[in-house]
Amino acid sequence: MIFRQRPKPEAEIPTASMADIAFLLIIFFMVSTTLLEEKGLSMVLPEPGEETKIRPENITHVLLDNTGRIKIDGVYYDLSSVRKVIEDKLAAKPGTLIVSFNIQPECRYGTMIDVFDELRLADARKISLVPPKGAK
Amino acid sequence: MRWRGKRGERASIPTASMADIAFLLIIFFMVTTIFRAEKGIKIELPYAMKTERLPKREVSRIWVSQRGEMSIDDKFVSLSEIAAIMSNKAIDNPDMITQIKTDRRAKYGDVAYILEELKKARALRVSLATKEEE
Repeated sequence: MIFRQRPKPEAEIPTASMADIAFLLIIFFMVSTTLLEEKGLSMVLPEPGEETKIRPENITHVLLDNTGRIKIDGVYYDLSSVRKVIEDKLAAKPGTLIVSFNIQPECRYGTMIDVFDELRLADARKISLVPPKGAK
Repeated sequence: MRWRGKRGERASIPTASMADIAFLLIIFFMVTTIFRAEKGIKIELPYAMKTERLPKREVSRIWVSQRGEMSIDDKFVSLSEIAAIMSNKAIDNPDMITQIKTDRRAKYGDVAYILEELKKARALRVSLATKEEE
């Protein structure tokens, strides 16, 4: 008996939805990726041994003691008024004033950042961090 | 004069290469993504307003915990080792920015001594890591 051969159906992989699958993957990874945002207060340290003499009238001393009290040129202020005080001092001597920021080592780091941020917000460009005692 | 209308051809956008485009995008993003290289130690960053974003590729990190433990590349280090480690890194990448991630409850003194070590290592570009305040 002879069987008549059926015409072979053409084999084909449907590719129409391939793009949808790929875009779905893209969107899935975009949504599930958490971007690592890295932010911070940037600064450039002075070269070691680079010491310049600055005339004392051009320096503002900001002192932060162990308990977190802020003293600017001998007067105590609270955090909220630091910005205004520094802005006024900078306006009096534009371009020449240097803020000398002296922090006691036992002070909380968070407090130091709060004050440092205020100095930055007051647009103090020249901030000098006084090195701790005992460091060379 | 009357134009005889051409027989309307079916308009279609070729979609055969759409998948290629999409996969190309996937591969591009996969290649350009940088994974976080180190786990670090558990800290709570302080908040600040005047923050700047950092270019990721140049950053190397020092972690300082609440109790003053320091970690670089997931290894605890002591203060005296920092200068040597960071100076090697600074030679490999002259544009390096050292990010100091310090817990807000730590003592400032711990950070101050690190800054002195970084001066010795000539890693002069530093960023104090903070979170942005809303």
